[in-house]
Amino acid sequence: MRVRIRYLAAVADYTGKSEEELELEEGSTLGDLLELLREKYPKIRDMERRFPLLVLRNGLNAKESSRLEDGDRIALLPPVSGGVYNA
Amino acid sequence: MPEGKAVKEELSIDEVVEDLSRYAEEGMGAIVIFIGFVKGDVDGKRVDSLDYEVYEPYTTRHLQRIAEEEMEERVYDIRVFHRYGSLKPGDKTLYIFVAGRGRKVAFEKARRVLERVKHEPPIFKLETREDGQYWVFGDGRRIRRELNGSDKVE
Repeated sequence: MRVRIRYLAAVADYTGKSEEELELEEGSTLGDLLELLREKYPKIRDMERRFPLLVLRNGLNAKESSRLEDGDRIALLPPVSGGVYNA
Repeated sequence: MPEGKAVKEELSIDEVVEDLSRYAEEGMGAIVIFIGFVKGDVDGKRVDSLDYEVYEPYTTRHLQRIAEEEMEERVYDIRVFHRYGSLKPGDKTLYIFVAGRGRKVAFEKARRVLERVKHEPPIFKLETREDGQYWVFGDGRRIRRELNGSDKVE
């Protein structure tokens, strides 16, 4: 399956791009994807030490245990200040 | 009808006021307007530009939700428009219109809507000024942008 990932604002500084599509194994979870991204972009770990990374799945907060589906839109965002994002 | 939206272009304030004026016949007594601007000076440093990044359609969806959730009996309408893109000092960034029964409820509601808009939706600011670039968070905290990923907290 393929998922589209958007890196917003300061997060894009760490990945060097604002979006990309990735092919994942069927049954992958959001946590699996985040681990893959940390491997691909080690600087994400540096960033996570500086401020909490927020992750949305199709515009909503999602647990790392949630299973991804083909066509999902994932976004990695830095905090605003309230940190409430559900859209 | 309450409306919240991320917009690229400058807004015609007159058109919105004209549209909201029709509520006067139903008992509306006041429209409070808040307009935010890009500041040309921050901490004594010259600001060259302020870039707003949004995450559509979620930013608009969130602004719309704020406008709808803040409606109440003595409030006739709420309109919220947040601009995105690269803006210069003096450019308008945020418009909030509240049509209320009277001035008190309209001012209070406008203040509340403003606080929510500042803190909740996914809107990000990158300030370019004479001493570098800074990511600006909703509470005014700034993180110096270093493209090698070693940001320095100011």
